Amino acid sequence: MDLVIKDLNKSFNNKHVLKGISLTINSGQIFGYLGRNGAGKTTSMRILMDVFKGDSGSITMDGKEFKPTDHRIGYLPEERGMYGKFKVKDQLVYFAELRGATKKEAQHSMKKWAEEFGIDIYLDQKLETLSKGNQQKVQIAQAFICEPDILILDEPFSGLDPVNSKIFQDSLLNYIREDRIIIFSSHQMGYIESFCDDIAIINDGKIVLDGDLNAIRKQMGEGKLRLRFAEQQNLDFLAAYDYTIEREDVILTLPPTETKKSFIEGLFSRGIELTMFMDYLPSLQEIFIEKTGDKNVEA
Amino acid sequence: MSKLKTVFNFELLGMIQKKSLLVTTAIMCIITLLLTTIPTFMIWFGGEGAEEELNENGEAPEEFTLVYENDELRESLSPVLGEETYATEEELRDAVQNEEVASGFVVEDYNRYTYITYDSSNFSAEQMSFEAQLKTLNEDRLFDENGIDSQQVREIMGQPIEQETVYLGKDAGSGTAIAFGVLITMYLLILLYGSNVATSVAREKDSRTMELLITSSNPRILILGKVGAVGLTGILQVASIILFAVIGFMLNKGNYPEFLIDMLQGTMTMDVVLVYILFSVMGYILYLFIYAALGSLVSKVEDVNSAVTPITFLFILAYFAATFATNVPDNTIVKVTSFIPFISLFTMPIRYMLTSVPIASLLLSSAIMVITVALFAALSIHIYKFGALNYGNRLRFKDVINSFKK
Repeated sequence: MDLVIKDLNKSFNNKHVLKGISLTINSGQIFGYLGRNGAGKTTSMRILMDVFKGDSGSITMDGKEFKPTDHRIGYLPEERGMYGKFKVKDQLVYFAELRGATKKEAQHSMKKWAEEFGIDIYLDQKLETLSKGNQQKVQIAQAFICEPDILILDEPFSGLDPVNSKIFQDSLLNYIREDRIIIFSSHQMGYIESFCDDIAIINDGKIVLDGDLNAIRKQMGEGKLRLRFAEQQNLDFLAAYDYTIEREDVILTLPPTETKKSFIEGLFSRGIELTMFMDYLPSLQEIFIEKTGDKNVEA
Repeated sequence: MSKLKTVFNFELLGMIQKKSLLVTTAIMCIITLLLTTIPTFMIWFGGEGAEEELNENGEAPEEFTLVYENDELRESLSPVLGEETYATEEELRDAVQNEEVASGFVVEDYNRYTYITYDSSNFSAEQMSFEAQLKTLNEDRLFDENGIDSQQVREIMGQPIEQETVYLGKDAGSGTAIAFGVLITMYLLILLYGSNVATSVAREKDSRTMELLITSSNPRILILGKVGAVGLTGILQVASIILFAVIGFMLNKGNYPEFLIDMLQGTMTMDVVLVYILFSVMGYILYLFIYAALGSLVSKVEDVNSAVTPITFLFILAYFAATFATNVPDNTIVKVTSFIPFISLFTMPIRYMLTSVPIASLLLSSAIMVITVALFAALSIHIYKFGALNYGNRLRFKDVINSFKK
C-alpha cells in the first residue's frame, strides 16, 4: 500500500498552516514524520483522520482517493488521555467500536492487546485507579486494538518508563506488515533512527526533506570525512580546510578540488598518523537541526 | 447510526454507573413516596388525639380563665362561658404575671371585656372564640329584651346560599399547584443536567480524551450521543420519581381530602400532560445542546461554571417569567413569552393548563420550539466541533463567530 499526499494546503483564520505538502508513505515499514512544535504535523495527521478537510490538494491510497472511513485508523495522540471514571475494558471496547469494529471484534481484540501489554488484570478496574505506567499501557493498547491498517503514533514514547518503552518497541516492530501503514512522529531522534526507513521533515508547513533515511544521511554527508588522528600530531594543516571537531573526531569538508585519495596521500606525505578515516554520515539530529533550525524559519 | 448508538450506550453507561445519581434518585423516590403518604399519616397520628378533645357538638370545649365584674354578669353568663376562676382583676393579673395561667378575660359588661395576657404572641383562637361567644350571648339578650325570637333570627340569618361555578374555560385555581410542581422539577432538571453535560464535555477536553474521540468519530455523533444519553438519564430520573408519586397517590387515595383529588384529577387531563411533555422535553433538549456547546469552549473543568453563566442567567430569567405566569396566566407578557422557546417550555404548558389557548397558538409555539431546537442543535454541533479542537485559552464569543465565516 502506498499513501500519497499531494500539494496539501490548509489555513486557519488566515494563517497558512500547511503550505502544499507532498509525501509518499509506504506500507511494510515505519515512516518517521518529524517537525518542530507547531510545524504542521498534527494538522496533517488530523486531515488524514478526516477531523477536517484540507483546503486543496489530494490524498490517494494505491492510486485511488483516500477515504478514512474505508480504513481502520489507530491513533495515539501526543497529548493523550482517556476516561478516568470508566472501566478499562469498557473504554477500550468503546474506542474500537468508534473506529468501526463490531462489539464482538472489539471485545476479542481488547483481550488480545491487554494481554500483549500486560494490563489484562486491570480490565475491570477504573482507569484512574491504575498507576501512571499502566495508564500509558492502556492508551497504547487503545491504538492497536482491532488491528488498524493505518497506525498513527504521535510521540508514543513520551512519558514511558524504559520497561514500558521496550514492550512498546517490540510490539511496534512486530506490527509491521505489508498491508499496514505506520506513521511515527517524535522528537526523540534515536527512536526514529532505529525504527524508520523513510522519513519526512516538515518545517513551517512545508516538507523540507523526505526519503530513505540512509540515502539522506549519505547525501548530506557527501564530501565530508570523519577523521581520528593518533596522539601528538601536528594538525596545523587543518587550517586550510573547513572542519568541525566532534569529541575526538574531526569532521572535515573536502574542497571540490580534492579527492579522498589525494587528501589521504597528502596526509601521508606530511607523516601524519591516522587511527580512523571514513565517510561522514550525519546523525538525524544534525540533519533535523540543519533543516529546521531558526535560520530556516521564514520571518 | 450504529456509531451514534455506540456513543449513546457508552455515555448512558457512564451516567448510570454514577453511584451518586443512583443514591439521590433512590432517596428522592422514597421522599416522594413519604410525601404522598402524608394524608394517611395525618389520619393515623392526628386523628385519635383530635377526637378526644371533641365534645358532643363536635366542638372543642374551651375553658376560659374568667373574672366577672358583677354578680349579674356572673349569673347570666357563667352557664355558657364557664365559672369564675379568679375573684378580682388583680388576682388574674398576678396569676398571668406568675405564669399560672397564660391569659384571662375580665368581663366588664355584656358587650365589653378586657383580655389579659403576658405576651402579645398569645393572641390566639381563644380570644376570638371568647369574643364570638360573648357576642352571641349579647345579641340573644338584646333580641329577648326586644321581644324577638332569637332562635328564629338565627335560623333566618343562617340560611345558606347554594352556588355552583361553571368554568367554560379552565379553572386556574386548581392547576396552580401542579404548574408550580412541574416548574420546579423542570428548573432543577435543566440546571442539574445542563451543568452535567457541560462538565462532561469539558472533562473530555481536560483529560485530552477528546483527541481520541474527535479522531475516531464525527463531532455531530459525539454531541448527539452525549446529549441524548444525559437527557434520557434526567428524564428517567424524573419519571421514576413521578412513578413513585403516582404509586404513593394510588395507595393513599382514600385518605386524600376530596378537594386535593379534584385538583389533581381535574387539571391533569391527557392533553395537558401531552403539552407538558412536548414542551418540557423539547425545552430540556434545547438547553442541553447549548450547555454541551458551551462546555466545549473551555479546556478545564473548573472553567465550566463561568462558561455556562450566560445560559444559566437566561434560564433563571425564564424561570422567573414562569413563576409570574403561574400567578397571572392570562397576562400579555405570559402570552408573548409562550412563543419564545427558551421560556415557552415553561409558560406555554402553564397557559394551556390554566387558561384557554387557541389551538393555532399552541401549534405555532410548538413549531417555533421544534425549529429552534433543530437550529440550536446544528449551532451547538458547530460550536462543539470548533471548541473540541481548540485547547488552551478559553474561547471567546468572537472566536466562535469567526469560525462561522469559514
